[in-house]
Amino acid sequence: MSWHEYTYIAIFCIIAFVTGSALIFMPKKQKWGDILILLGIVAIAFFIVSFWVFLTRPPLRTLGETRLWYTFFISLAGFITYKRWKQRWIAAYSNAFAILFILLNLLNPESHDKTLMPALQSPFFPPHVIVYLLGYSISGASSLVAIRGLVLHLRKADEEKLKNLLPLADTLVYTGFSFLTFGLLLGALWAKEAWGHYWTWDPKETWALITWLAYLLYIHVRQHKTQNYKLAYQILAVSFILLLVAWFGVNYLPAAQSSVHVYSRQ
Amino acid sequence: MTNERTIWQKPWSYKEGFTIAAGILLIGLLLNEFTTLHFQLPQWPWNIILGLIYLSILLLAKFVFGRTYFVQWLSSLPAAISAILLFLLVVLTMGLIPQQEIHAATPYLFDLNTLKNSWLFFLCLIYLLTVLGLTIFRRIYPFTVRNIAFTLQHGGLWILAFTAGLASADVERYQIPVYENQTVEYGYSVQGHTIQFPFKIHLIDFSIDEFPAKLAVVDAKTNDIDQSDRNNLSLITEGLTVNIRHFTIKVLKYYPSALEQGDTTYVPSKDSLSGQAAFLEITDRRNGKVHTGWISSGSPLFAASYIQIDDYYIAMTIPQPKKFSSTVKILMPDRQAQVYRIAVNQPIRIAGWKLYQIGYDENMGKYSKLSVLEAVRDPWLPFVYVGIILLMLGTSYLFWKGNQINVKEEDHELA
Repeated sequence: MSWHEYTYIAIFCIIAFVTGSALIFMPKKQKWGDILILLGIVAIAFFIVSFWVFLTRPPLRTLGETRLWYTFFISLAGFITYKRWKQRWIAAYSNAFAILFILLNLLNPESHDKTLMPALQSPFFPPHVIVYLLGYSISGASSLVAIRGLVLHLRKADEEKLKNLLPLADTLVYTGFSFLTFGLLLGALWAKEAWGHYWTWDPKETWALITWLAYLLYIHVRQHKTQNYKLAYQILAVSFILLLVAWFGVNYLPAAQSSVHVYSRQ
Repeated sequence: MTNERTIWQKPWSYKEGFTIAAGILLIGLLLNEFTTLHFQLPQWPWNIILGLIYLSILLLAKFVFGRTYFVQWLSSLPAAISAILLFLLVVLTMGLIPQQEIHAATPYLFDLNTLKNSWLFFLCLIYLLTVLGLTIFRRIYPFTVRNIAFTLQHGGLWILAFTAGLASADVERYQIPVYENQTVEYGYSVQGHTIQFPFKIHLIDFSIDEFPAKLAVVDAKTNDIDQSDRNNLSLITEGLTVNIRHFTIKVLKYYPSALEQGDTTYVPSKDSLSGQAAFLEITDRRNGKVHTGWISSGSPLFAASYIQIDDYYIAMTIPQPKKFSSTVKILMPDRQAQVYRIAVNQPIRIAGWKLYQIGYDENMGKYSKLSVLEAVRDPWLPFVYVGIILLMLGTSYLFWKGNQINVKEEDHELA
């Protein structure tokens, strides 16, 4: 399958995610909601696999391709978290984000490109990028919890409700942060093989480190100020902005004019 | 803790942490601004001597002054948080202001454009390493599973940051431009230094494998490649049929390596100056007319060719490199010459140096006779890798046990 067939998969996913997310809030129809969301996730996974076969290389190079993975991972992470923590809203939020990424892909069609530049032809390429996508998706999901927390705070919801969200945010941060650490270190090992040094302060590296430090700060603040949930949510919300810059924004920063990570600009 | 507590009154917490961080920031900025020299660690052996002196101070602080309030506070969470925040601020500045290498830097307020070689960065790193180091000393004992994981995470990071910092003075990188059939033994650093290697490099062959070119329909009025359909840029293969706009294009023949014969046809050839060529059958679906003809990517021997139908050109895009590599013979005194292949992502190791393929003459593309190699030497690499591996192990534990980490305890507060 190529981008041509993506439109059909995308429309199916949007319908599945929207109706699925609505149905899980109806006690009697929750099971059907679960099934619909799962079907959406399976559909996007199926597309990724067949697109991979079509391209004869992993679809991890362009922004459009990484958005496919983000759609997949954020909806999957959201579904697992919803099942594990019985929080329906997280499934709804993550599906909304997944739909956002699907729409971005539909509205910004990219011509597909089978070529893979020599620097990317390495056994480090798939693990580095997949680990990072997982890290971004899960850390992103933790920030959704933070936004939910801040919204509840503004609405003056009771303290208990606010504090009950924090263990969920912590779990997501610890998991996401582990992936970010692995992604960063795998990137360093790869950089040594490809460019001669493990760390060159390339703008993408710098921003990956900034994001990493922000979540590191959250972890340490949580260990210390265990009761200050508002501060925790605020740090997570800011971390999310840094994460978005690290991922999408770097290409547009003045500091990125010489980045080795800008592949999509040709 | 009461709200009336004034600063520096015990127990210390955030106020003191942020004050210390702000002090370091201020001193760093002033040193950046008012010293003409950039901060640079001295090279071997002076960097290791300084490193050992720093390590002794850290040990002295722990084992002689370990009971003083300040040293105890340095291993507390507020100290850690202030150190992380300070370091985050400096790296954030590096992410926002384009950074330059010191040998080619333009003047900038507080040297904010050369931060990695600045006093500010050095002081922040020392503060972070000190807080981290003293925290590890506090938690390394007793040996429980949790403390081992804690030590792996923090110790791995400490070793990584410490040795990478020392290494920054000793990493040597030299570019080696070499033409086919030429033998060289010198390398040139971007700072303008020259080095003679204990070996000679003879370039036997430099070659580029290309991806097939892509098929494109170009609007003759604007010279833009048609992007109306996602499937328009297909890599050319024999038998490929695509629909672009009102054309159905079928690739009847495709030669990845061809030479022009006469003005109109192409034949397969292994010549090093060959290019890509394809024979197409194009059906204009508006009127059913069928056109046939050759298109080619061009080469130093012949110009690129295309087919024009009304206001459109059907042409090839410039082929992208798939792999570029150098076949070299390494000559060393007292040793038999050996042949190696160096490619991107596939460096080779010779006499303590790693040789990388980094470039070629881009104006010549696949016809380049020039290969640019880079020789890199980093004696600290094994230590940095030890740090990376320890940090990975510690992170695996965090991943495994992450959701069970108990944040309720407040045992870090100093009384």
